[in-house]
Amino acid sequence: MDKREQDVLDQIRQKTADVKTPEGLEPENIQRMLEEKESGGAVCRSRKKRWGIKQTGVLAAACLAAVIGVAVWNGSGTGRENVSTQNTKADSEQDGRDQEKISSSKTIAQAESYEQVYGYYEAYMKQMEEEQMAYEMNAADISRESLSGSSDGGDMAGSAGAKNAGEEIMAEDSMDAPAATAEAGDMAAGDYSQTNVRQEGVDEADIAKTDGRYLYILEDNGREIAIVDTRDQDMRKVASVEVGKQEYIHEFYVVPDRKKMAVICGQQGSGDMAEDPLYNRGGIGNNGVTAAVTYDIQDPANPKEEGRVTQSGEYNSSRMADGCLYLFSQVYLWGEVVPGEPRTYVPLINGEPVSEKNIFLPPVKQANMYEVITSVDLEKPEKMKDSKAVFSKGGQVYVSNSNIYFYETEWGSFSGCVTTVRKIAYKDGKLEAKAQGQFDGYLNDSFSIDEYEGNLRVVTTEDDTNSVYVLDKDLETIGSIENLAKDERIYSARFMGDTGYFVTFRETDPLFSVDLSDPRKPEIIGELKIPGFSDYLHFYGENRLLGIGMNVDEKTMSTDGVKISMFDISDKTDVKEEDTYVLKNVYSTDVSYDYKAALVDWKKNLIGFSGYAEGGQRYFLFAYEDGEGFVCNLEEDINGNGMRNPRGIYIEETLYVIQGNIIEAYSLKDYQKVDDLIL
Amino acid sequence: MRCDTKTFAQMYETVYKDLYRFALCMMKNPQDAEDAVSEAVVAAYENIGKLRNEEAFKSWIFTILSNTCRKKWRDAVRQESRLEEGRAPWERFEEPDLGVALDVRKAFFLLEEEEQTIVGLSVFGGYNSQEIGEALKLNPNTVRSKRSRALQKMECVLR
Repeated sequence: MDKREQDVLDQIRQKTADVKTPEGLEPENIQRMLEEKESGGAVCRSRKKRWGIKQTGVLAAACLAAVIGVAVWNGSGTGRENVSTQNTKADSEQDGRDQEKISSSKTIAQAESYEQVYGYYEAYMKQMEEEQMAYEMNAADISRESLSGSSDGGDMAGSAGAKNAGEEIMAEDSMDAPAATAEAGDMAAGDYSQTNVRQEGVDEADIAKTDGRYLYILEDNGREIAIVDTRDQDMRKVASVEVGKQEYIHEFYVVPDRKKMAVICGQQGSGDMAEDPLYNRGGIGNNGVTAAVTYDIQDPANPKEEGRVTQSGEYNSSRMADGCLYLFSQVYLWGEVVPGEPRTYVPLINGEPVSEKNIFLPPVKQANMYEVITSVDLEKPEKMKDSKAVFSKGGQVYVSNSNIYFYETEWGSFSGCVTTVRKIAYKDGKLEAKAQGQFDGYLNDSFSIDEYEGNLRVVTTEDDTNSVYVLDKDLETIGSIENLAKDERIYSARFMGDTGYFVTFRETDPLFSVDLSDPRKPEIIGELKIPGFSDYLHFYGENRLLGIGMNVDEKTMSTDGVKISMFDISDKTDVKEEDTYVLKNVYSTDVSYDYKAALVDWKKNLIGFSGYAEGGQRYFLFAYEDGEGFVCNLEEDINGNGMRNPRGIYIEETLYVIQGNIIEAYSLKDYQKVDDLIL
Repeated sequence: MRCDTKTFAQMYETVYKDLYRFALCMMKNPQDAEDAVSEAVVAAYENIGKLRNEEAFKSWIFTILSNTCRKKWRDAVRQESRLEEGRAPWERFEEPDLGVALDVRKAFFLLEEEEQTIVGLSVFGGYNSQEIGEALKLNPNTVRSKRSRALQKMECVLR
């Protein structure tokens, strides 16, 4: 969220801060009301029955409202059968429309004309209107039902009776798993840490980086990157890179071997386009602009701007590989869209609309968003090397070592969902459409999708079951396991070579291992149940898997602290929890949703992350010792504060904990504080 | 999870002020807001067995409340629309002193229902886009875009 949006939220918060809550809603009165409802029934048996029925009727209706709410916002059609227990008239009409197909074509369609692109947007808007109407009809039905109180409450039980399918799966034959590959290598490139990335070999931008001597840190004002010399454990700010007044920095790269820094920033206002009346009327113009600015850092004390490029949209993500930057931004069409005026509905690259053939049409015949993908060669930073616009309704990217996968989920009206995926190859800055495909369910995050030897493996959740799918290089499904871990959903996943691991959670935390050595016949080969859940997994050497997540108290079923677990995966058919460490007073960690907040380096035996404890944020540093398990070497308050998450970076024997404008340095020999710096 | 009225009241205590603020921004008047919260509470208590863990309570009851509000709002609008066609929703208020600055409510009425829910969950629920996405079954990116669009609309009124 940018600052302007934050300001609006703050205003609403301030203006509603003084609202007095009515007495009837005070907790003790609510408790009394609930008690009266309960005991009122118990006193008189015949009444209880009556009351019970009526009440369930109302509740069923309330629940139905929830279901329909979801349906209307998301029911853009999945082309799948819907399982629905409620059948109002409007529903069946909706079901009919849901048969709208997801294209079965295996190739990504390129737009032939801007008119064609406009047609997809028109179709999207039309569907939105229809859904709004269907919604209102449904709502009318609901209110009638809730008034009459006659509907059957039987559906409320929902999935309560469903039983866990995981155990049946466990009984399947196990097979010898091949030895782990050396992919566990991770981040030990030099004797300094690098940003924790999704895919080894593909760098990602961050808010703090190092080249082994200098620290590069995005300051809390969001407009400046401080360059700090760390020599002799004596930190000194030697330079800063500042962007224009109308710009704010999202993230940046440091590429030590090319002596470059690439800064990704957003522009407020319409910048160069201020004079263009059409642009400013909406459509594209409302989305802002993302810029990539490249600097020469031969002499880090004296960075020089070398070139900049711009593209429409809010920054989504980026990657760096072989000296090329790949930049992803998102454009959401709203405001005035004028037929025949592409500048109101086609994203702009350096001010010019993306050409027709570089617009990839979606597999469903409607769209209102673009993922703008461009590449910049750092040696020629003043122009785009290539650019594409993936037309969609909003999705995510996963980048393997040679392909970009754009995936988006089409939600069903009442249940079920399908994820479509489009594959775009990248090499030295050139982007090329390769294939498209689909699979059932949605992905937890980008760790649930992984390319290996040309195949794509995914672990998905659909309603209350989970599946594993393997797709070949043309994104044709070639192998699958379905109906895993009934009533649970996937919390985290990680693939290593031929094996995948994933964690589901409901009451306990099963860690599943999947053998994928025969892509056509993936098999669950292990399942380990432990309390709590891990929401981040990281390989720790060849035979160990680190899980970071939450502990769950088995009596109260509530989380009671951050938990780290080490799994022994030397025998994939019999994974063991080797050690676990619960930080009882720490109620969450940023790693749960921001993997770049993790500092994990098994060669140097470092596990670092920040957590939220009473009294504020704290940084933790663990080692993992044979026989001993987790050893907490450092637990220190983080004294800086700011809008972004803290980072831990090491250079040789010093750990730098960075938050906001404060850097605190600790020795990795005795874990004592050695220096600090306020930027 | 299992839970008695006392445990429920304890969980409720941590969120009820925000629930009421949220309802007040969504509803026509304070009485409706109060009713919406009570109804949502009853529904939540009756269904507490479906809640996975205590941590999820807040997002769960907010989702129930936002659905309750939408249903009530639509009922009310339908009843009144015949009488008061052509007037903006906030002009229909009978009680001018609503406890919430009028411009906040005006700003809320500029939004579509879904946008109201997203903004309400952001402000009063303190949710990020990922959590809103889970509650509403929307892609987090879609949530971000929609929120951004909604806030830009609101900005015009709040300024």
